This record gives sequence, structure tokens and C-alpha cells, in this order.
Amino acid sequence: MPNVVKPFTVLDTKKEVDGSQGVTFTITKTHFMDDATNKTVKMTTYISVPEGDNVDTFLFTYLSKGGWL
Amino acid sequence: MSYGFEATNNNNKVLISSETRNLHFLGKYSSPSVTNSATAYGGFKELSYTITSTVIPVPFFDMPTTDYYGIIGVKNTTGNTWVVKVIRSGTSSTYPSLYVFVDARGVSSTESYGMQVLQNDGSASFDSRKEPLVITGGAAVTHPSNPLSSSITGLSATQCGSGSSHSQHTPDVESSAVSVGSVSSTPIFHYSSLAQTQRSGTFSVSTEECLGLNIYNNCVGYGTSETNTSTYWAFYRGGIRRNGTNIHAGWITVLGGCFWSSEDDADFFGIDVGGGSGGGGGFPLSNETINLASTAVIVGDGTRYA
Repeated sequence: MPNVVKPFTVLDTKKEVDGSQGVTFTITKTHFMDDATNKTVKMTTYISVPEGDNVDTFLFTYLSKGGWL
Repeated sequence: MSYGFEATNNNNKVLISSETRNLHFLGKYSSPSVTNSATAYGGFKELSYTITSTVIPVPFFDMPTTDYYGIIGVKNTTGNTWVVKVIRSGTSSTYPSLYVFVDARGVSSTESYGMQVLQNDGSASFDSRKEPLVITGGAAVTHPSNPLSSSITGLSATQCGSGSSHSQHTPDVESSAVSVGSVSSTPIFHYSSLAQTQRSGTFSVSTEECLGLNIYNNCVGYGTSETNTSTYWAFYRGGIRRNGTNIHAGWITVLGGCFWSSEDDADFFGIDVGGGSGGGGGFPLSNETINLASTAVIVGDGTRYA
């Protein structure tokens, strides 16, 4: 992944028994509802990243498909 | 061994010995009581079988459906009374039969002929009249680390609003197939559910409202904020399911829940004028999997035992 400011934060990684990487991450997204109101949603969750995959690239693709990015 | 009796197979493994104790059939138990159950996240039932035995029972179970099963406890409750607990996934009311084996001291027989092998204290280590256990196969299974193929996502942040009717915690990962060799029409299995895992996801939403002037997204004057946070969690134990002559190791959801918090705050020209919160600590298990060492599955033939 290019050296950019990432919209998510990896909190923890662990090796899973099948070699996958277990990743706990958090992501935040802010909606500007109107001139006076902002709404910020945040998710902290866990996902298995296949062995050999780049964690940042995997999360970027995954979160893009999910509408977070 | 200077005296006694020993029978071995062609791999030189002991089948019968006057130094050990073989298992013999005590009984078949088909009417468990349901001592715990849930319908969320795939569902589960905890089944309790009450057994009377003078010695430690060793239980086997059949698998009447393609759900996951596992033994979670064998407990001596009082005197000669034992309770064996089996868990199964799903919500079906079809329950496995429990085939219980004990050493020869715990079984009586009315047969008048057969072969007995005695230990040096005179008690039987093997008695052909008492339906000795025959092992027909076996395997070792290892559960996948993660019960979920995807992350927990899309749940309500406000007061656990998504409840337990969602499917985000429903396990959908299992091990690849492990062969247990040829099996009868009613294979029986001894498998202890040791692996455990927990998965959780936290969702929060913060709404900030500026009642003064909003200048380049900076509130000048009086502003308020409200934050709602919900953490959804589920706890799983290992189970096995049968598919023909193969078994798979997967997960049974035994408990699930959610907790939430909310926070209001306000400030006036950048000075906090109300609200506040604090917190600390954590769960003993959070997105962790334990006891993943491979677990033995011993297979017998249920048709041999009435």
C-alpha cells in the first residue's frame, strides 16, 4: 500500500493456527449531517488475513467493499 | 511382566492385559434433559445424561444429524451418580444417544461362559461376557482459529439495538475433512470439547452539534456531543460433525450478549461545562482462541451395543 495516511488503525495482530494473521483494527468515519451537526461512527473488530497477504492492502480492499472508504 | 496374560495385535499394541483395564459396555442412554439452550447465532443445546456407575464412565455419542457435537463434562455428582454433558449446535430436538463404557468391575453379566482376565488383586481387567469396547477407528482434529470467515460488522451502536437476531456471530468456518476410516451404520465417537474462542465487535456513534457558530468545522460558542457505544460478543466451544467417513472440527456458539454505554458532553467556548466518563479493564478473552492443540477422536461401532 502506498505511504498514505491510513483511515484505519491496526490495534493488534496474532498468528493463527493455519498461518493466517488475526488482526484487530478500528476504523472511523465522519458524516457532516448539516452545518451544525457531525456524526462520527467507529467500529473495532477482528478479521483473519490470509497468510502472505499484506494486512494494510487487505483491510483497505475489505473496507472499501464494505462502504467504509 | 513376569506373570499374567497379554494379547497384542500385529503392531505389537496391547489389546488385553492383566496389567490394564479394558472398557466394557455399561448402557445406552437416549433421553437426556436439556439443561441449557439458545437459538441465536446458529443455536445450541446442552444435554445432560444421568448415569449410575460404581466406576468412572467413559462416554461415546452418536451423531444423528449433521450438526456439531462434543462432550463438555463428566462429573460425579453424588455416590454412584454421574452426569455427562454433551453440547450440540442447532436448535433441533433430535438428540444423540450416549453409549457408556466402564472397566469390567462396573458391569455385571448373567452369561455363564466366556473369557476373563484377572489382575493380581482378583478383579477382572477383561471379561468377554460384558461386551468389551472395540475401537474401529480414530483421528486427531484441530479447530480453525477463527470461527468467523468475515469480521463482525454493521451492528447498531445504540443500546445494543441489533439485539441477537443478527447473524454476525454465527460460526461458518470448520476444519478440512479428516477421515476416520470405514464406519458402521451407527458410528459412535468419544471427543472432548476443549477448544474455546471468543469474538467481539465494538461499534460507536458520536453526534456533535454546534449551537453556536460553526467556523470551518470548529464550534464557537455552545456545543454538545453524545456518544453511544455497543459491544457485541459471543463465546464458542469446539465440536465435531460427521460427513460420511469424514469428520470436521467446527464451532458451537454457547453464549452471546452485548453491553452498551452512552455519554453526553457539552462545552462553551471550548470550556467543558458538563458530562464526563471513565472506564478501564477488559475481558479475560477478547478475540482470542485457546486450547487449539489437536484433539483425539475415538470411533467405535454403535451397532455392537444394544
